Amino acid sequence: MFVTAFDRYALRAFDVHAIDYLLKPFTGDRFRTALARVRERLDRRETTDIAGARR
Amino acid sequence: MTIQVDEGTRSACVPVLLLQPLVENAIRHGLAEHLSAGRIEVVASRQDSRLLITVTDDGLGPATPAASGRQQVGLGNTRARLEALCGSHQRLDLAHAAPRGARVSLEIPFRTSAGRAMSLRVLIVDDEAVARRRIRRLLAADPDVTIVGDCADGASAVRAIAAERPDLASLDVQMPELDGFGGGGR
Repeated sequence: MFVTAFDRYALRAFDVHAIDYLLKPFTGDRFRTALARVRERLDRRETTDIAGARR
Repeated sequence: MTIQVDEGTRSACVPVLLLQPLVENAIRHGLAEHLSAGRIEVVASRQDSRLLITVTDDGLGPATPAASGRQQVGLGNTRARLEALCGSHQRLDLAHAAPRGARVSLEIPFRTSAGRAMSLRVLIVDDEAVARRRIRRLLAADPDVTIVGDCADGASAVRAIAAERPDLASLDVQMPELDGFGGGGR
């Protein structure tokens, strides 16, 4: 997850599959949204891992 | 089969399919080949922020050369999963039990959150101390977050990511030595 004062790196962040891109200054709410996104993606990954292990 | 779970650990989350292979190992390698009957004991307890679980059998123990090889394969998979889930915050040992048998001891962070079994482990990377403090404050407000460290430059971030294997790295882009792209990519 990138946290930066510059918006010009967003495309590169997208290229490396960043989970989110926070532009400084950001609000507490925006940060919590980012954490929620991270959890969502990690939960999906873990579910996939378990499904794979069971096969 | 005895299961002894301390009252304080009943709400603890344990990663799916973590214990089952250990119990299967105890049956297959500890008991089945050598005895018509045996005991397996699973004990869970809490020590501060750690969850301790042991699986003990009264079979021939881990020293049997034929058994130990296979035991190690099973443990190797469990070890790899633990490492992926908890980084360096876990421990898994196989030892002799007294008076005989084998005991696998497992130690993981104590977590009770319903959704995720483990807390989100986060590394903060920013060259500005003010920014690091702000991010640290926001993260600390979340009970299911563990801050594994903070770094002021990309090179130390690369080292910290390798050592701690965080779930998430919060990366600044323009930093001395190595920018966030180098850090995340490596």
